[in-house]
Amino acid sequence: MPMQISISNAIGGGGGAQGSGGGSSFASTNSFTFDGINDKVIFTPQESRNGVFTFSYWFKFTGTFNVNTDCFIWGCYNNNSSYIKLVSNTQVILKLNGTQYTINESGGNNISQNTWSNFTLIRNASNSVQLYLDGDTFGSPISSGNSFTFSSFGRIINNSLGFKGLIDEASLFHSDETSEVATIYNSGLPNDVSSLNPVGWWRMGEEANYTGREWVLTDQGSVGRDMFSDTLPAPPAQPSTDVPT
Amino acid sequence: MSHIYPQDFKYGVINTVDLANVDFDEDIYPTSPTSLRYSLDGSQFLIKWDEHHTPHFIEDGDVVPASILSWADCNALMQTPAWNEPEPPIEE
Repeated sequence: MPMQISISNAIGGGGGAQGSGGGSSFASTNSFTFDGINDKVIFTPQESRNGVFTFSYWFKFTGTFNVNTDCFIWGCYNNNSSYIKLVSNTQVILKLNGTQYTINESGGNNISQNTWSNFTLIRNASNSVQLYLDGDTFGSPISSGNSFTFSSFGRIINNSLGFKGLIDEASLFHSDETSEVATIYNSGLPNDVSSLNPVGWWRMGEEANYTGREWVLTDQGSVGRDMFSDTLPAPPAQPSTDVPT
Repeated sequence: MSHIYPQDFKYGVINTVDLANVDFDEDIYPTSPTSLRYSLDGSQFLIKWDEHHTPHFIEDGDVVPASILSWADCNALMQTPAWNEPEPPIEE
């Protein structure tokens, strides 16, 4: 069996890029690759949020738009009540508690394939839900008070719906961080979001431990819901050193 | 040795009747039967391994895969009706 390996890039302890928001040395040096076939990271109990929230993650989409095995970045492992689906470079479908919302971008802030991008999804106190791509709005806001549920990156349910690409630095806030979208995006370089008090922060490579049977992604947020994966291979196949730069 | 994941991996399509002969203590993924991906009719499932470390239960013939595929070929198989269903209904 593979030996137990820890990959630690402690907040404030890593070298490299300087984020503007954290005030300390911070760098993302790892991500996880998802094969579009069976790879996933999951946690329990699933997030179920009715109020304001902010959900941010970096992704590098290497699949094909609107192909079910490739284009579902996140969702719920045990059901498909919520997810995001990449339909085209100008369209995503956001599902919240069973209701699908089509979001179309017409201003040219399009999704790129094979390029690192940041999605930040925010619901404010007026139940206005806005998706941001790389710090700018993607499409128009939708109105929804439906529950936002989330428990999985890379695969939804057991079959069919998955993601092909890389994911890095996922963070979840029970707050409206609209005023911090630029800080989170940080001109394309993942930032230290600890000062924004995330309830969940999965660094996707750093602060991850391979136990010999599975990856444990230690939650750097306040709730402490670690993510797990018994489908992602052991080092050195994972994690990847391909990160947003 | 550096790896390029997932291109450096082999994907085995295994008949479900052979599940008991799959040794999850070897370096295969998933590492638990609970995370296996099955064909829609349940007759087959997938495992994967580093192409340089074929599992003993396959080398020894204890399990004869229905096929051994590259990542690209497996990805193509996953898009066929036998493995890929339209978006299913809500399962709350």
